[in-house]
Amino acid sequence: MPIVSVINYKGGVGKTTTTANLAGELAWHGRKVLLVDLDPQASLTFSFIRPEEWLADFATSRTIKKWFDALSEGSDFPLSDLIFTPPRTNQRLGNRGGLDLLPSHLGLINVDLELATELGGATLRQSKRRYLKVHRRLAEGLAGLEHDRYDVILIDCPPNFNIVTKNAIVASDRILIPAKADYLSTLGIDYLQKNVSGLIEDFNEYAAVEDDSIVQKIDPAFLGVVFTMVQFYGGEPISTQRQFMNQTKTLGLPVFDSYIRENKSVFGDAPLYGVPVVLNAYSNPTHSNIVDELEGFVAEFESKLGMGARP
Amino acid sequence: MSNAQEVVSSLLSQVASLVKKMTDDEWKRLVAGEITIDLVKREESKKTTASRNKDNSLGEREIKALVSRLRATDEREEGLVLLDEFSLTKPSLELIARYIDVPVSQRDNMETLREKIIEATIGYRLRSMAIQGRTDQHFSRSRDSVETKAT
Repeated sequence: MPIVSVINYKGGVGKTTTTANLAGELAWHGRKVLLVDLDPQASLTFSFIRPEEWLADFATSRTIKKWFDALSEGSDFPLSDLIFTPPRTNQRLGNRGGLDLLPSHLGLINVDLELATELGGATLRQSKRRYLKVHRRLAEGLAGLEHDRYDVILIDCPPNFNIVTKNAIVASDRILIPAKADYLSTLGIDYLQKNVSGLIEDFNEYAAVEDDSIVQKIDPAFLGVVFTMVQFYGGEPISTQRQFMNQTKTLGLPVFDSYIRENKSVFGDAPLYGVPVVLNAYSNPTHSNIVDELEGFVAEFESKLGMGARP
Repeated sequence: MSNAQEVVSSLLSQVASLVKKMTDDEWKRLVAGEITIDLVKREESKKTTASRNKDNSLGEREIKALVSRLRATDEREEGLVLLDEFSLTKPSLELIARYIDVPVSQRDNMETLREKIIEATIGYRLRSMAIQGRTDQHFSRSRDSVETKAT
């Protein structure tokens, strides 16, 4: 059950669109997918749950925030209690695979502050133990799910590197980076690389000093950068974007051959209807090209992740 | 920028680059007047001239060689000096920019083109290293890698 974090430091890069469509297409291929929304903006959550439904049925007790809060208060409960199966998307999927969601909460940002208070300690040893405990919280929660319940777990991370985000990275086997091909977004990739390296170094150093050696070292690898919101001219990305794509390719990170193109009329209102674009059938050639490209991206994702034959 | 300004700017860049590369000993000897920096005018080599186009813009082979040298350079200033060595015309700068797939606008003057070329061959690597807090050159320039470990 591979766990993949989807993250970029720079906001507005199409991260949620990428995650929702990736999950939708994987489920269309017959795979069982769990989406974990760790972004306090809750955009992924609102792509599957209407805000008024979220407020009435989820906000108080059925979000990932509640789970983190309960752990901090010592009243543990399993993550599986929060899993929600979005009806509109799963109706579209019919008998194929399945897509589940662990919803986010607009107040999730406060969880970072709460977790920060749990760090520190009277001795170095105590500090290291607490560090591991706080940062492994999500990993342990996900490990508690039935082993064969999902084929893949995708975590939509916030555009920061706070403790909740670090929990996602610690829990992950791979990291997927959606990025716009522009100056600031590509700088975000470098920030991310630096911070992921630092986290791995710290975590593994602390894990090594644990006497009982129960804490496994982490080794999340970069699955790749997928360029999003790509604008085309003459059948290829515009040259302003091409230069940043080419530069990223030479900096050592793997880059997906597939792109996700910019199209506000297709992607703009899709979350409103609760079904990812990739699960829609379009007669308009421009729209169907977008779906083809998303399918190409997901095929590449499956291949890079070594997911094996589709069920 | 006038032609005279460009020439002076180029000369100063070349001198600055030379000074930067000096060893401590060479620098001390220069300050003591034991050695000097001389400007020597060289004839353009026949090979270089031969590979130029009729309008004196660079030929493809020359562009390729220049871009390769820029990509092997680790400082913007060195790159600018390298560009200056070729006494490039605006059409040549445009050809180089297009060769490395950098967008060129009709409004771009020579200074802008030079800056775009330097950023696309050297600057982006320096930015990446700075953000990652690295001062060394450990870039994998291979496009064949399937997956890179984060550590």
